[in-house]
Amino acid sequence: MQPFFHFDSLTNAQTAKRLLGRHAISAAIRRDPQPDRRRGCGFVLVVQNRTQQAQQILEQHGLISATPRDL
Amino acid sequence: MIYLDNAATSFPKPACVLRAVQQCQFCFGANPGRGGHKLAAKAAETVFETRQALAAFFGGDVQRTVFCSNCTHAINLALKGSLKQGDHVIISSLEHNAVLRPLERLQAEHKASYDVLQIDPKSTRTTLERAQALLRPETRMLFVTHVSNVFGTVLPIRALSLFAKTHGLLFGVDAAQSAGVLDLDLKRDGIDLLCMPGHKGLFGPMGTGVLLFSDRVQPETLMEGGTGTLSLEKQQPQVLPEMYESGTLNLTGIAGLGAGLRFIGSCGGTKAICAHEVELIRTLREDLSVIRSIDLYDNLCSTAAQTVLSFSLPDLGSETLASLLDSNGFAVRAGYHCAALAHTRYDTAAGGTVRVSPSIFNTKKQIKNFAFCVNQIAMRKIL
Repeated sequence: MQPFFHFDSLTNAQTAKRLLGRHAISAAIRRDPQPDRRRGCGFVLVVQNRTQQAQQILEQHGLISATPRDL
Repeated sequence: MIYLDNAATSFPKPACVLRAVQQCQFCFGANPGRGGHKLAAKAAETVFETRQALAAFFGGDVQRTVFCSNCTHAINLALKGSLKQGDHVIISSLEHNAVLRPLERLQAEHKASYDVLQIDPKSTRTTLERAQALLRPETRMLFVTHVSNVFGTVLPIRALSLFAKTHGLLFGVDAAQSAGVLDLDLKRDGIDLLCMPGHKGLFGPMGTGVLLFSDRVQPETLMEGGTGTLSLEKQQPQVLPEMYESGTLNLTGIAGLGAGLRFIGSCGGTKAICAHEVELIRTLREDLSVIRSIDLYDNLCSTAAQTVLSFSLPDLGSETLASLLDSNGFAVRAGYHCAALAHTRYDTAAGGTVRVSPSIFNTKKQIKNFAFCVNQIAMRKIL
């Protein structure tokens, strides 16, 4: 199980990845493996460790509003 | 051939830019932001790195840094995307047609109107008094060029920005001639819409342009289509910055633009580049001023940051003069430089001007040779 955050914007996913990297939280960008059936494709940021802290950081910077899902 | 037409596009491009373009085409020329494979990821990473570098360079936000196809595209997006029905805009008397023509169209269609602010290059106070007189209740934006592409006149953008803020106006800047040469910062300078080409002072390839905008404005899109996300939605996704970048991005251009930004850093930054160009123009002005018959349009610049110089010989059309210079190994632009307003203002509409715009790659010796050639033409030793 790998937690991930969904992004409608690739640029936001890239920004989030850089931001987490500055907090020593490694993450990888992938295409969303479970795209929304009504909205379509997007990108996800798969977080390797410290998921809760990652969520806090991304929320603080307004980059996400939802909790992570699991791959 | 000595190239002195950098106001049109910079040439030559730095070797690092050529390498970046080549590497992109050879190694990872996939579509950024579309597929999930490694090549697409590398392409997307390259786009992001350039976007991030541009945002840092100009004091903007990554999400509000948009790739365009050129500066004209960026200006069209800034103006048409931000102006609402009935809005009034004040522009300067030195604007390029990239600003004038979109506004002329909006005015003809009764969507927006504009007035021209006569810039006094020697008095910011007078310029601001004139701007005050143009204000209307429906005035929404002040949009000016940073540097005249014809005369090199540097506009006092910080004073104009303050004026705009004081009167609740959006402030837009056409940085076609200044991006990469003069220090610009979206936040510090109070700019809401900053438009620039990637292929001039930023040394990127042609086909690149950038719009940076502040959080006080969010333009409407000019173009809708695929963004690589939310593909099942019929409406354009409202996500920054992708909502403005429908269709495939100019990846090789953007890769080259990123390298161009790094090149500026390796030269010592905009300050060093500007100092070099100013010194070349100073030398040129000095050498040309000994020609009795010459009309030098050098008294229009109120600052020491002139990096473009226009001149003409009264009994020789500017196109003929440029053609003679071309025959003698010098590439310069003649005519009206796509800037109708500027010529009206300075009475050069009859024959236009010859414009010299050097870059970091030009030398003082080249400039002196150029001035010597103009002198020979003026004395009719070259026909």
